[in-house]
Amino acid sequence: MARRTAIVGVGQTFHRSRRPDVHIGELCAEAVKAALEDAEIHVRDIQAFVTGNMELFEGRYVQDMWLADWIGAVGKPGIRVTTGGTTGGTLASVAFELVASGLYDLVLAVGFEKQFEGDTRAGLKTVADPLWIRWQTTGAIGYFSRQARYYMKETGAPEEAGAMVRVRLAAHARNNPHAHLRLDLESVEEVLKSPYLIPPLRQLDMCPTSEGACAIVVASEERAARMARRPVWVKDWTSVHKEAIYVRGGRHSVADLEMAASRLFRRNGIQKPMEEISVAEIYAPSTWAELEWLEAYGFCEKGTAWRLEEKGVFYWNREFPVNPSGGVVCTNPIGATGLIRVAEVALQLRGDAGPRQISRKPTLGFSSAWGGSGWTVAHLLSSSKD
Amino acid sequence: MKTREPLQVLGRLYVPYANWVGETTSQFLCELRDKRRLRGTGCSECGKVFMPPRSVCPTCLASLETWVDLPTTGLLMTYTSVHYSFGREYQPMDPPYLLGIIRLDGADTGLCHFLGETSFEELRVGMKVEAVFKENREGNILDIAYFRPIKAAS
Amino acid sequence: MDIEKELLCQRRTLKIRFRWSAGPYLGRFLLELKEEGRLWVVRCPGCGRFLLPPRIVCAQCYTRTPEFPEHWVRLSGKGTLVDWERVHYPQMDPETGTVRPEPYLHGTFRLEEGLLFVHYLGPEDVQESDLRVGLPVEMVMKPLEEREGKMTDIHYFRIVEGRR
Repeated sequence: MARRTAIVGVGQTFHRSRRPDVHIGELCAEAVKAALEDAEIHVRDIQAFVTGNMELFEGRYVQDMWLADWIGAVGKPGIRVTTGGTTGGTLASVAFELVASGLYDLVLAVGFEKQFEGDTRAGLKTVADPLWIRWQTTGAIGYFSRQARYYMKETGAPEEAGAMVRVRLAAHARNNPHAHLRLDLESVEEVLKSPYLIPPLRQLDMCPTSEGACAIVVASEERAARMARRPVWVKDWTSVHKEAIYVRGGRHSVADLEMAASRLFRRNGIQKPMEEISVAEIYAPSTWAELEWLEAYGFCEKGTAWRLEEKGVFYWNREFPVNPSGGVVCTNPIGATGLIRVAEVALQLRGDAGPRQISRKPTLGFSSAWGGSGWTVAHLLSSSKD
Repeated sequence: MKTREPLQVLGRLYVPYANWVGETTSQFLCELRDKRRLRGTGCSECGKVFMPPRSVCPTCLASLETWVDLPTTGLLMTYTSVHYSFGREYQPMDPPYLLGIIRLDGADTGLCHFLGETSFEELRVGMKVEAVFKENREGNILDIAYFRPIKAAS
Repeated sequence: MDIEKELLCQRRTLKIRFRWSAGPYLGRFLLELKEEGRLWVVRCPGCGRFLLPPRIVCAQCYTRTPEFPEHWVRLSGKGTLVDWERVHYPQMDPETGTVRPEPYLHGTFRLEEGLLFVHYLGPEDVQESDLRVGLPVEMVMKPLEEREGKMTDIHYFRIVEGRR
């Protein structure tokens, strides 16, 4: 029987396009120290460490070894997680599992990326199977341009819909001092001036490449009771793989997103996700993915997310706040990105999100991570133990 | 049906990287390059002096902001010789060469570097060595050409 | 005096060579592509679907598929245009460190046997204004002496002459 598990500390860097002032170890130390400070504990209290990133972006390998003396992990158990785009989400899941299993009472997870150090597009191509598809992959941009095209075609959403998402995320990011892109985008017209990458996807529709790190401290129920912060309870989590996509023709399937969310909702008796869940931090690498995936997760009916976007219901001070942090479109240090989603939901549920604190009473939060050819990790966090 | 040898596909990876060393290491390497000076950092909590300098203490995670001037001399803690070649791209010098770990006087940690003007037979653990700097220095640890034994004055 | 701090970085290029074992399924597929210029699929004996590329087990029904040629089907290399996209941004090829000139066209094709396939849409001077969903397309191989047993042995797919 799994033990109750809680998040008792979170920390992140101020994400930027480049951080030449620190190397990888120093970047991670910033996030780890922030999380320890938030939890009001010393690093010696941590019993095990989970670390992760996507090594192909920096070209530096076995980071768990090189990081140990920068995050206080020397002589302690640890494991490296490197699951592509979902790395940050998996980092949280593994930390939860290490505590829920009864192995440890206090675990720290840290994820990072320093994308300016390598060539993100070349690095991302190396994810693809070299025998079959590496030569032709256009990385995330190719994937999400087609996703946008099919979403527009199937739902009748105009080009302005994606731009509305971008304007909302910009407004959210301006509330978040940690966000990378904090642009003064006030109107749909400004977004529609952005150049195309692959039509209809514009530069402003797509996530940036960022440098940053994020860390969380996870505790058992007993240990959480003795912590400084109000614990954020981990209600449930899951992950889903699709069959690898060998031929990326036509419409992309969202089966992994649907399965992950419906499994969590079913297991936890959630029938009206948009009413019962008070905040969602979803891993959507583009504006159009955010619309389609809100539908895939089951928050709203197919083809309706862009209508709700028009009405503004996804703003941080409205009915169903989505990515009040500014989301992945504003900040994307890949190995940290999924973990930032978890950390941001935890801050919201604690009521500690500052200017980006949602207006709605925070009770339940949903976070997700996504990667590869269809791999979803999803978490359900709660402000109450039961 | 004809049987066939399974196919092996030849592939390669060719990706450029630029890894930034950060403020602390930059300052160390710039002083090495410009002034032939070696400085470490010290942790006021643990009392340790790190060479090469670190910005964060590995034990207590304290920020290390105190710089400590170190001499260019130290003790040879251990050494070895390298005889095999794995490509000049991955090896800064053609083998055979000598490698040692040197603890500079006043430092608590060892620095790995080449040993020169000596032979494997002449080396002893605990012997005094000193840094020899390159004439043209570029701002990396190889601006020290090697360490050599300090010969007793005769 | 406040001197701006000099920040250093170390530049290097990761160069590694690999010998990837393609195995009896994908390896056979690539050999047939190289030598005969044809695409092959294996039909899953369990659920009947075509697996492209051929692989040892069906990920849907978990049935083991036989090795070449039993249950393998040779495709015609002809089909119709389903959609295409224009790639506008420079991307480094991680195998060579070179950047492919853009813009260029990617096509999705519905092969005669019902499968989707993705490749370049050529030749280089193909005009987007000539393209229509549903146009017949055919696979164009590189000359035999240039083929290496890779997917890029296919030069591109093109609109069948006279149908533009």
